[in-house]
Amino acid sequence: MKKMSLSGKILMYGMLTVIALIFMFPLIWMLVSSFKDDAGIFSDITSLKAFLPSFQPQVFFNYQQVLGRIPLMRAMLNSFSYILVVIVLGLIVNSMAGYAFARLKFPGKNLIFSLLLAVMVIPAQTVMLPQFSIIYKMGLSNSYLALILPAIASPMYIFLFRQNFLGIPESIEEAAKLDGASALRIFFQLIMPLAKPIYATVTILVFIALWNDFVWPVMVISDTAKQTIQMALSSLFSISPVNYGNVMAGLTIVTIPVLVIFLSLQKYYVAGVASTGAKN
Amino acid sequence: MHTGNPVQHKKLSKENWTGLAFIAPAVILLFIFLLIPFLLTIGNSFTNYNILKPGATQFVGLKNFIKLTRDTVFMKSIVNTFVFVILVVPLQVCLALGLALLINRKLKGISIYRLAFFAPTVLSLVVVSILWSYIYNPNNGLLNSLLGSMGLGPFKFLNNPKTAMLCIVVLSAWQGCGFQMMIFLSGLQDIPAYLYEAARVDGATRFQQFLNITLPGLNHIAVFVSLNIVVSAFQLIIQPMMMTAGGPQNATMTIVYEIYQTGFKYNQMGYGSAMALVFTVMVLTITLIQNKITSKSNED
Repeated sequence: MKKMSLSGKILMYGMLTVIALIFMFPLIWMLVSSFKDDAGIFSDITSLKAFLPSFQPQVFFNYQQVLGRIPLMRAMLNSFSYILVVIVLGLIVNSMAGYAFARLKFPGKNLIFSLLLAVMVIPAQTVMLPQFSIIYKMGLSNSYLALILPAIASPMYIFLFRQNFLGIPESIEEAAKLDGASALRIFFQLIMPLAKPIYATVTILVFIALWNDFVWPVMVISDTAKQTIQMALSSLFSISPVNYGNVMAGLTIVTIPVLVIFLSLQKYYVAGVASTGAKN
Repeated sequence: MHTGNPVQHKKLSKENWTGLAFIAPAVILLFIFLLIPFLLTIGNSFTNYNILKPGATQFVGLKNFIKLTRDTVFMKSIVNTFVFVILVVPLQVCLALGLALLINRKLKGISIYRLAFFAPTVLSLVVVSILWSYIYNPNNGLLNSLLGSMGLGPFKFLNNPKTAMLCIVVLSAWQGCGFQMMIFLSGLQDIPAYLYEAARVDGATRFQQFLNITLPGLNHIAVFVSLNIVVSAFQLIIQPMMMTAGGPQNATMTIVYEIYQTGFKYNQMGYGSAMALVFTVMVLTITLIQNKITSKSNED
């Protein structure tokens, strides 16, 4: 590539910054408004001042108020706990299945694998009503199990794990097999550590998907104490009196965990984007 | 299940048992929470199943589907969903491609800009919907206030049946495009640099290079990306649920929202399942087309 001149570089950075700021305006507005009271938000709103910070003496007053208005911390804890359970169980269940499809011989393997590929294309919305009635009949409505059980196994993640394990040279396992190691031991002690990146990728994909999930939790959870984070946030949106500053603080609080996880595991998330392709 | 297969009658080896044990948890869970629900969606769509009156369930044949053809709200929700798809797909693809071209250069700190464009994709649709509701608010929303200071408006945005869906299109494309930007970006980086060098030697302008090298090089990715957006756009529900409750005058009612309302809010599982089946056929048709095109373009 040709070396860019200094003025060309400055122009380029200027253009990028302007476009990035325009693109980010809703988020900038959200963040700066979370530090203003409503009088401040509405007096600034008619000009570019809407996007500039102005701090009150008590900087985090909106954050304190919003935590007093709705049990946001409780909802965060609920979401974190159930997602953690899903991630741990899901990683084990899906990766074991993926390993079996990649390496082990068993009757019906090809048939089951083709079935798996077939059900992978069923949209979640197709099955949400019967899923709900199954949960209802099992007596699991309004329990964390209703959030956890349907989320554990996923054809897409099984497929991702399988593809990844196929890329590991078989010779590594041959040596362990000759030493008489069991499949279980080979899997947990040899394969799992080798395949850390794919575990990280699936972890972040599951976390972001479930942290942001809304429709299914609304269907199965009715108890306020068991609300997920997005449910709590939507209740904040509907209770009066409406307070922009409070809501903006709530939105920011809910966004921080995903941003932190995304920033720290960015590399793996982008790998997931590339390998799954589709998202909402 | 496998009768007639002589291999099945042999004693299973240890590896066979291990394999079956390894897949068992996943298979059982998928059976209960995916396969059975899928079959139930089909089965229930021919009944009048109501979750509150399970004893009164009867087989009603094609009655639900005939009812669907006369259901003006459902028909409207199909039209709305298609309108959403037709508007959001080109907008989101162009935004994604534009951003990818913009940040596909070797500059110090370019990754920060890439992050900025990618950030909205990790936000939840609930967060994004609430935020944009305040942006679009007709009384003291951000957009009307800014436009008002320029002497424009006020516009009713979400409260006007003509503009409500368009507003949802804009925020959805904004929220999602960073994702496809990443896919385009990896496509751009796969285009061999020597093609551009050769074109420069031949005296091709930047624009000619874009038309004759960049665009054809991204062709396959553009098709893949577009069809992915089509499939996810078909599933639109959270934005109208949060922002408009499907209104005004059902202008933002979508297929999935209607399935949710009918089956879950009004407990009409049978009728809701019929809607879900129609939805499934539509999505699977697109998926099939996608697979056809993708496998064809892989052969090229």
